[in-house]
Amino acid sequence: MADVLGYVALHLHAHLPFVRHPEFEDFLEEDWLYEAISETYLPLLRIFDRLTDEGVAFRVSMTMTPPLVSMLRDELLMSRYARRLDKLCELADKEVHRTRNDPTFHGLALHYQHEFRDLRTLFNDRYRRDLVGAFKRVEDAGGLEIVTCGATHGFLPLMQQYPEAVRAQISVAVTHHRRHFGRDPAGIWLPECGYYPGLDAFLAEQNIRYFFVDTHGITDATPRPRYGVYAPIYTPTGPAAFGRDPESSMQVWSAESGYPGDGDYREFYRDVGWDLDFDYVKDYVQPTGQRKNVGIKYFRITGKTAHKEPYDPGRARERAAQHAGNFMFNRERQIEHLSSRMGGVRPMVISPYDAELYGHWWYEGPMFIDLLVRKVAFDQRVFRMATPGDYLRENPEQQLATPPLCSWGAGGYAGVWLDGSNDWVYRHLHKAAERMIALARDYAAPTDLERRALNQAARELLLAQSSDWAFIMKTGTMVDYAIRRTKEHVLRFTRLHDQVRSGQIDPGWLSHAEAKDNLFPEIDYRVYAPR
Amino acid sequence: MPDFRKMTVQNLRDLARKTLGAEATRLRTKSELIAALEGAGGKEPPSRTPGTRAAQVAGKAIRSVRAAGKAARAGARKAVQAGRAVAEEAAAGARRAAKQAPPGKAGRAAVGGAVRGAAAAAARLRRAAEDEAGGGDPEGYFVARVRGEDAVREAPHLMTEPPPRHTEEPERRKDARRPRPSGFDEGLGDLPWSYGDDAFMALPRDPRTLFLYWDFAQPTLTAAFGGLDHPVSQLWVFARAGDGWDRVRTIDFALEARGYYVHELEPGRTYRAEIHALDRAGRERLVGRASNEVALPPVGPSPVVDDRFVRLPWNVPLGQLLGPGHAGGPFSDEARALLARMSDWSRFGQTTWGGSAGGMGGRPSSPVTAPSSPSSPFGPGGRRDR
Repeated sequence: MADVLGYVALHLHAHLPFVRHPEFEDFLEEDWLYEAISETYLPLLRIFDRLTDEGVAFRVSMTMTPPLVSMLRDELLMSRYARRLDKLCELADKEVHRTRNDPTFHGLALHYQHEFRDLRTLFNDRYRRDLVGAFKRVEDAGGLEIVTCGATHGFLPLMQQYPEAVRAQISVAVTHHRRHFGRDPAGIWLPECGYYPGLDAFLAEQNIRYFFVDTHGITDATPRPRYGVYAPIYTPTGPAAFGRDPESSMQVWSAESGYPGDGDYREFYRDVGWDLDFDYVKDYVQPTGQRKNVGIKYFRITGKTAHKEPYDPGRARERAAQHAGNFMFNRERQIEHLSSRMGGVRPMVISPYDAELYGHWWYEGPMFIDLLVRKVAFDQRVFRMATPGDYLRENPEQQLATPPLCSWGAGGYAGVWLDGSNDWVYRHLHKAAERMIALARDYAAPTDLERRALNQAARELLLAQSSDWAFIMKTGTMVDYAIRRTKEHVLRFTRLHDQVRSGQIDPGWLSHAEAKDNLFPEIDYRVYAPR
Repeated sequence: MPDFRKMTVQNLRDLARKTLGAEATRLRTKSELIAALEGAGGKEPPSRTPGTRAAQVAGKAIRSVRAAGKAARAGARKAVQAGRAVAEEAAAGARRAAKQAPPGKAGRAAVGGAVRGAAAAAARLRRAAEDEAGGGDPEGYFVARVRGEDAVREAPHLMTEPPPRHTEEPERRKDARRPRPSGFDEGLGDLPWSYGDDAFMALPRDPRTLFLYWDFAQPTLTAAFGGLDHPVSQLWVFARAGDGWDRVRTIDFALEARGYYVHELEPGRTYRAEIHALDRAGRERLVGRASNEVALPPVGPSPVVDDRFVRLPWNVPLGQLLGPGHAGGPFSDEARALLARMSDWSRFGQTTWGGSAGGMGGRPSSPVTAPSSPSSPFGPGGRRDR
């Protein structure tokens, strides 16, 4: 398909903050991972595998952030997830029994029973509890281009006064990516698409060829990019910046007309964890008695009304097919129009989304992707699905320009992560970064115990820098938890710093910290050494 | 008992879900909802038999816990605990009443039903009250990411928590998360109030807003303010101009605030700040040192049009600054303008979901939600230009 007029890049950004609490039997925030596995990662893998098995050509790029990869490769968390899946299957069985005389909901109960049993088979038998390996195999088979992210999703524009800390976020992530995917990452999803002039130099050091910015990262670049967001720009040290296309984003994100809001799609909020009698669901919600979503939802969006009609999977599938066709049709027309104005340059339309939108929020999202990929492969000849890496390989000549500081957060800059609710964290994060850099400078030849403490200090600093904590504080959701995590990591870092400096490292406590915050076992604190 | 007829269907449905559980999903009309709710909690008993006394107690439990729920929504955890106590006491009362029921199958069945109903209703309402008072639905994190901050506040379940507390966690959550016996008590303590290292940092928030924080050591403050007559603090903000700096803002402020948002700056310029101590006699001293320099991003398309292109074969590693590239050749202004329009969110004129991944539609050229600096004596903008 070399004669296409242009390209469409579907990019899925899969990320969760590192949440792992071995000290508790149940921990509410670990649900983020378990729900994303059941509703997004496993369904995506299922469609990618099916497409691969059936020989349907597809190219999708995807971020798998280091914290997510670490959690998906964590034995404790995966065994807890397996238990969770067993409980889900058990609840689905109960639902089949409960609704046995209810013609409206019994079919749906059977739908969930079949779905959860299938997920369990996939997780335990097909993927052997190794989803990272499963995604890697899809990449090896040619369907995916997996890119990395900041080591812990730290928002880099607010770290720019500490270049060593920025370098560490990039370098640790790249090393981690090589370890888990067996190759260099071709690109990176900058955390929150946060760029500032000069950041590209750290990417170039790692031979990272591209990154993503929001639309204004291209349109407001200097000099003004000739092709708008429909071609990447090379930053001063070489990594290419790809800008988000507003038109395709709007088709999904529009509050009024976005696909996920269609009345035939499954209603996110009407979950049996909230709807059914507490005594009936108590074994499937929090042990504290706090209700939560359990993943069985019987209603469709219906409309902007409290009244909800029963969900009809067949009808939803038809709607997803319509939407996939609509999306493809609009890209065809868009690319025909663009290519007629770009003087022979083939346009690239970048459509990035949070991966968890697909499946977890928009239940039919993975189905939409499946149908879109098939339609693009068989029903049109105008464009080709491609990754940014594919595009640069085929189109190595691009314009030189520098994006401004930008992000994809509300407002477009740093306001989400620097606000009255969360600005207090930077005093502590910056102090810890300054201390870590000094430690790396001063301890060039540490003892084994010092090396362990220094490596753990680096882990704690990275964990404290996660943009998720500031985001949660700003949005007001799990605020206590985000504050607690920020404090705990900074305090562990500080204690390690003080112990190293005083020559009084507590090996017992160090082992505890290593066991608890156990990501990046390969880390080398010297990544923070000044250059 | 509230007047159900004055409540909206949505409120009735929410209440019914809490009160009746799964049965509520079968109720479609307002009249059905009202009848069911009245049946659950507010209907007057036809006679005073032991069985109906139990039902009355159940109704009392419902009303008590409903009141507790209201109080809990206002943030009164004590009220929830009281509600729980009332509910449990009421359920126990129902059981006691059941024991007094006359023998006979019908009586036992009536009493048993009432007791089960009382206990279940009490438990449901207790938990509803606790949910409302306690932590938010963990789904809030996802909803905020995919649909934005506003969506978590409009959600049918509570998805937010009370304003940030920098102190201890709420007791309820502490209890829920009590470590297992093998848990390692780290005794980490709390973050220090000050590092006393004379830090003075400038951070870019958006094209027009700079955030500054400072943390001066006591000797630094003494050196700056010592010997001055009724000194005040002033923040001086400078913007780079050629090889020098222009002072673009002078702000009286409270040094104790430790942080300040400087608004309405010119986008695309590089700034730094200084803090000065001034007294009545006109004496002035720099406090500590100047902040770092930081550039605010420009807004809108660059005025610079200089199409330079470079070829970077994929197999050639990066790692050095690229050369100036070569000129891109002619390109029509009409095509350039069209591509710029197609790259512009504002042409859609629709609102978008605004999570971390939210659309840029309606992005203000000057963000209107920038936080104020409460320490400023001159209002949210905190400015007093000289």
